Amino acid sequence: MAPGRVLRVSSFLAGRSLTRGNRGVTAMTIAVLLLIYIDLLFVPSLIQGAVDKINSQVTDTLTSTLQIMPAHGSHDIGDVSTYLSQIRSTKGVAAAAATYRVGSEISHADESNVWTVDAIDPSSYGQVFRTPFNLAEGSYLAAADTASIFLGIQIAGMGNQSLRSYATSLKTVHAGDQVTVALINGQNETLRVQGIFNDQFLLADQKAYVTQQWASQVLPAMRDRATAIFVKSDGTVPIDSLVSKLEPLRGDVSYHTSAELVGPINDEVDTFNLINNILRAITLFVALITVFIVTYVDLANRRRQIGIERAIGISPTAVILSYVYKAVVYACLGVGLGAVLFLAVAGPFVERHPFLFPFGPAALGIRASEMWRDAWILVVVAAISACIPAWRSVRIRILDALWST
Amino acid sequence: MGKMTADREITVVKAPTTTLEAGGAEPTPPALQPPPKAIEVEGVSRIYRLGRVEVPGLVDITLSIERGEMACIMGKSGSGKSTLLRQLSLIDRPDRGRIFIDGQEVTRLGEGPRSHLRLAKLGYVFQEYALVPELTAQENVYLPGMMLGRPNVDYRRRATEILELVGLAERMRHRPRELSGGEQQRVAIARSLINEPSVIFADEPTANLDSMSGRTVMETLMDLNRRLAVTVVFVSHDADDRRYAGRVLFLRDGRLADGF
Repeated sequence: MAPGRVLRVSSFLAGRSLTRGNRGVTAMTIAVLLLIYIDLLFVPSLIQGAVDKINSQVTDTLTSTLQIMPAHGSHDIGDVSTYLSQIRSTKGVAAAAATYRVGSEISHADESNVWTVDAIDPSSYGQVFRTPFNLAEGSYLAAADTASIFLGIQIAGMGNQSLRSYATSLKTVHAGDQVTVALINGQNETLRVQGIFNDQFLLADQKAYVTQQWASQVLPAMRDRATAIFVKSDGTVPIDSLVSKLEPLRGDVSYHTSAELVGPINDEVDTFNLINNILRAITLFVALITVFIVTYVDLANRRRQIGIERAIGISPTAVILSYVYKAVVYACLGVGLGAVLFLAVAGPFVERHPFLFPFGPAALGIRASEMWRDAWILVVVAAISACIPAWRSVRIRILDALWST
Repeated sequence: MGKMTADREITVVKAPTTTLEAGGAEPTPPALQPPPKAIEVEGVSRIYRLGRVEVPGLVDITLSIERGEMACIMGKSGSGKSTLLRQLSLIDRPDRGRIFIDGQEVTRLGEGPRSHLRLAKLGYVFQEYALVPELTAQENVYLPGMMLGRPNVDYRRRATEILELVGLAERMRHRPRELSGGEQQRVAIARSLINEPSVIFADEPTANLDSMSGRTVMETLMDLNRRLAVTVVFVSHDADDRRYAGRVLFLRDGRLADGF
């Protein structure tokens, strides 16, 4: 039998059955496949959204694209102004900023704890990180500010007991209040809180900043030195190439990408992905069982009709393919409607009401490639699960099929 | 049976094609060679096994049916009428014996060639109307034509012509549930004709119909037999139906009893 004719007859039978058959069954099957498709997409998208958020939070508030640190055995990097000029003029660098660790303890009234206090150039720091723009109270530092400090919300507390680290924070500090900072030289300095920032990222919100100008006055030894330099890539050069370009500039430093610095977080992502794969397998199994049952029930009701079709010469392949076609159409419609629902409803809804994680609010990280991949998988699973009962039913002797009720 | 063997040696396997335009003209046999019979059966037996019990459905049946004949298989319930029809129509396989359609032995054919033979050479009318519920009358009729896919045959147009022939031109867009039992059975007859079969088999085609519809169906079959010279073999338990047949084959306890 010519394949073209078999395909034509099977698509004809499937098409008529879909358009003129039981519409309730068709609608329910499509609805179930739609939900299965959304289920297939949702958890991976949420994990992807969380991973995207982690990556953006880490690069925007903690490490930037590349972190340059003193080589092993050194405390800091010298001749920073020259080095920064060289870095900034390197192709692929969008901005660079240096920090110097000046303090380790902050206290207010009866509250005190250990936090890092870095001296920064407010202007260049704002070109590398988003922190200056995530104000919760007050204002960001200006280069000429003296005796001022820019506090993370998890240090200040701001009277907000819902904060994750409220218990260990200064609890009630607001912009304009005075705090005491213990500097690395053992000296205590009283500073005015210029502003409080909220990066919505626990690690970032437990940091505090003072201006380099003021720090170099109280700690002259740090002048033109840095404990870390942060480099923001403009995205035009791969990170490895960027490192290769920067390495010849200085030999007494080490380079760390954000990916290296978030190693423990990557472990969590791997665990998420493992859970996701298990859930995906279960979901696909549910899809397989659903289409199998729908096809099986349909075939059980049409056993005699199939016997008649075979008796009048319709080939078993055409009969099987007609059910496979139907399943593929169910799956395609389920996938299509599911994609529309996911992109038009679920995505924007979660964008507006994001899931809250310790690293910040995460929306759905939707990837077109994953949507296509899951769509194909679901269609193939549907086709296979329709094929099995259809194949079994055409193996029954024609006579037995004709005698069926 | 020696004659049948000789016939097979001079087999002209392809049956003369009957067309709607043939208008009842008799098929022309090849010169000097008699055409093979439409159906020949040699010593066919069929035994049903119900656990350890063997029930003979047919016992050593030998018969032949000529081209263009309208033959009726009659007998009491359980006599083996439908069993014989199923062997002849390749829906079932005999345990013993041989069957020839148009001179070609079909007993040992695999399921694929049998399926193609059923599609291309045989037509079926079942006891129950047996139409695909989602298809219109016209679609039901042209489905086997679509499957066979003969070149240069517009099976849609042909389905329309056949439905006109069985008096259902006005009903061809209707689906089976919108048709009466008699109309559905005439659609089934029209479907059996779509691929210009050599033989039409009908298994008690009037069993589920009222007498008026039953008469219409039988007259339709008889009319087609005469006009298209198509061989018709039908099963009936109604003695009145013998009037439509040119020959009656009586079965009793799985054996040919009379009329042959």
